[in-house]
Amino acid sequence: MINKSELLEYFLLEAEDHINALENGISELHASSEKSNIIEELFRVSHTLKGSAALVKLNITSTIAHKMEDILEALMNNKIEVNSLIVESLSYMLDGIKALIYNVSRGLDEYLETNQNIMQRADEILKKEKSDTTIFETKAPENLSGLISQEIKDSKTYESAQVINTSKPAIENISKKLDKIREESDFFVGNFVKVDAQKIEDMLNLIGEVTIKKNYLLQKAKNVFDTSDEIFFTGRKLINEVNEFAERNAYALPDNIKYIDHLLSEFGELEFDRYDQLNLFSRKLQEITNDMAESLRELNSFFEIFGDNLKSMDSMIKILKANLTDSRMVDIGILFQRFVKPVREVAKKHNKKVELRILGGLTKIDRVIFERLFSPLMHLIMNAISHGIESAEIRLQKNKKAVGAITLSAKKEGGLAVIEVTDDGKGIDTELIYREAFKQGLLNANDKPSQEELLQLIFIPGFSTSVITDMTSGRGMGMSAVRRMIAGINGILEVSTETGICTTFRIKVPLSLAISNVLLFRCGSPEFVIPSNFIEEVMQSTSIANKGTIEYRGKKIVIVELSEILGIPTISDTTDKYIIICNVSDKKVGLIVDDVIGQEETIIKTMHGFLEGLQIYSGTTISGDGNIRFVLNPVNIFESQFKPVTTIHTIFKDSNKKSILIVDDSISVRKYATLFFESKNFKVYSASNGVEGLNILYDKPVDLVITDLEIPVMHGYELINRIKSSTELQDIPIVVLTSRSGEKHREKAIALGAQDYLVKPFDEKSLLNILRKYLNPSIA
Amino acid sequence: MSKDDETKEISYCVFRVGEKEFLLPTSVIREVIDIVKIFPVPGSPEYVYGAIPVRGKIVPAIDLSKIYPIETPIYNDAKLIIVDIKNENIGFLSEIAPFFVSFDPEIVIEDVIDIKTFFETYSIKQPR
Repeated sequence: MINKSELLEYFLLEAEDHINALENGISELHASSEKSNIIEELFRVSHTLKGSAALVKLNITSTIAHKMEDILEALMNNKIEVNSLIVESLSYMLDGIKALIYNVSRGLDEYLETNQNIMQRADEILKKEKSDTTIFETKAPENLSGLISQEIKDSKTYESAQVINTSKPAIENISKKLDKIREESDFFVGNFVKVDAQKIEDMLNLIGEVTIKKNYLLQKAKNVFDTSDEIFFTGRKLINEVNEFAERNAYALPDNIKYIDHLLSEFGELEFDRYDQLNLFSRKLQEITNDMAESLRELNSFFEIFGDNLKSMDSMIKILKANLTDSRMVDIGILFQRFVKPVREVAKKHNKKVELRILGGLTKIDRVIFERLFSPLMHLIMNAISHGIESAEIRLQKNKKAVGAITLSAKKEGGLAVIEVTDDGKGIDTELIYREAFKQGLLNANDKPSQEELLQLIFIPGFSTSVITDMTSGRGMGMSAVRRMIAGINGILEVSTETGICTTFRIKVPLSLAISNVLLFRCGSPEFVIPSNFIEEVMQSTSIANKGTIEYRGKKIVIVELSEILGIPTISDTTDKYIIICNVSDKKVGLIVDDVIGQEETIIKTMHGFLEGLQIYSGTTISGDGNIRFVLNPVNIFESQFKPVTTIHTIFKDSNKKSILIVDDSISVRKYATLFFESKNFKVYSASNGVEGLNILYDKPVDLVITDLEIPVMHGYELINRIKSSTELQDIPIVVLTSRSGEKHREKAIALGAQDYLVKPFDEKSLLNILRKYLNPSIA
Repeated sequence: MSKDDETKEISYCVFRVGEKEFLLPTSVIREVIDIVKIFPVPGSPEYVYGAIPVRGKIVPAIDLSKIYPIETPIYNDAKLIIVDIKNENIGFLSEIAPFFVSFDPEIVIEDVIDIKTFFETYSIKQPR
């Protein structure tokens, strides 16, 4: 038996399409001159909707759809004519269906308050049809073609007349066409498969996880490759050593063998090869090392293949990710269509004539962005109608067309979608803004703000609202809210205006939210990212002389310390911080952070539902090694009514760990020490020579150095000397770990500044003592 | 008591913060994990102890001692009890490995966290 809820799910999937089709059709019906095709299509869709709604026992939906079908049928048979009343009624009915299906999709009952009203309206229209036809019927009973020819006389266009003239064949034609369409839709299942958006979302999430794991593997593999190189290298050294040894000893013939083996006593030294224990041992050793060399070669070639495969997997995952993201892309035109009706309604309310033009509807954007663009766009469009476009009389006075135009356009620019809302209204009066800003104390008498700077003021939260209450001509109701919504999808909102001619709002959003290029940086111990499209430039701040502002490209811009906003204690002092210059709608601002790590491609996930209210973030990412990084939203940081309540807790084990650097050319010493220290919960860095060690010291925070004396490239004494003569590093305690037990060696090391001197072989106890002494007295 | 009655008992997960024990219906629990690494959520209220990545998803870790009057707990060996709520996961810190108990549905049990109400009350709201 078919599961009912499953059936319902399919219906909901299907219904969405039908509703969209109906919506498009109805809005076209209003505008288009070629109506008959549209009516046919609408009839077909409502018929299907009726059927499938009945199948899942959604009776009200089915009934409304049925009524729609009746009206459309009447239209199709020319029993009634298209007029604005009918169009309005149809969209009214569609609204009802939408509400019903919305309820059902949320698991509620199929219930509609306005149901009676809808039915009434539909019946009224249909009644009219009947009365009309009855009139005609009395005139020309049983003669439909007579009725039609009557209409031909009225009709002015010859073309339509012709169509109707051949009425019977035409109707047959239509029904044939309908059959054909039905047939096609029945058999056309080839190239497309419908997928629940949630499924794609899930797949993207999985891909995200795969990517994270893959990155981690790549990172780890690199370490393994290094180790394997090292093993191979030391292995070779060992083999050579053994070979030499074996060569020297394989054929030596000590005297004693001669006497032991009587059987061979008659052979001379060069006449028969004889072996003693040493010879045998050395031969055995040689065999083993040869085996080992063979295995090492195999291991090495495995790692090569492994590395190659990992790389090709890497690129395949990238392609897969791109394809999946693509499959979630939607034509923005569908979104634009949704504004047709509201524009009509609101324009009517304001007694204005407005036409909506749509350009670039085929631009594809991520479904997530698609959904979240609706309300900001709605806001902008409503503003344009109520404040931008003038009334018809004024427009005519100004030599403009009586009908105002709002243009919605979309285009792709690199990884960004640029969406513009332009109205040909009166533009934004910057004079008024200036006066208002002055009145509110946002500007001083001496300030000579540029046009651009004045426009920026409409984004200030308190300002914009008061403008709207004071001046009906003002624009900018909730402009700060709009900007915040756009920022939520990592977008930027810009505005430009020409007084008396037009106003344009430009939204730049990434095409996809799933994969983004981000800048990775640190503030205190936590890492954060900012989407790259917000970033203008990253500067090193040698000195931040003027706290609060900075001169940037000849303009003063505001800078803030991120750690102060977030309430994070920072590590470094102000001398070597970075300033990230961000683009926050037209204006630029600077963010001071501790350390900039680099750029990377990452998967940004929407904010966790529990933390959604933290508006300074627009999402999260997880790094390859499993670190959480929050995605900062620069727009909201700088618009901060935000008061931090940060507390950073201390089972942040990783950052609290003290770290040890071990410098030794022997891999086994390094491995042993690393394992040992890690088991005691320390972070361990290791280096095989002095220079490598020194580099790590400059790069990472290290609390203790343990070094050998005889190490390649830079020997231990020099390393100690360098550390102790560096102002930055001199406080780090150094422990020497060497096989040289002589006093001379010890004294030199201590003289250079080493704190302790351990002689190999060392044991755990002595290492523990060192840890206790220099790092943590409480270690067991 | 017959066997049928037993099956009707409701199972709870008991965990501890400071001196106080809390209960969660077993049905909402997804898993219990050891905490290895916890990340701060700068800007969040005190009761959000941090966030933990679990299989590619982020789970906020809640410290109930900042909501109820409890002495400061020691979370050195803390467990995180992860629950399902509204297609998301949140976690409660516990000082002990939680254990499970069952009660007759007739018995009124205190200190049960109603996870839905909790989410609605304590999820971070947008500033007005």
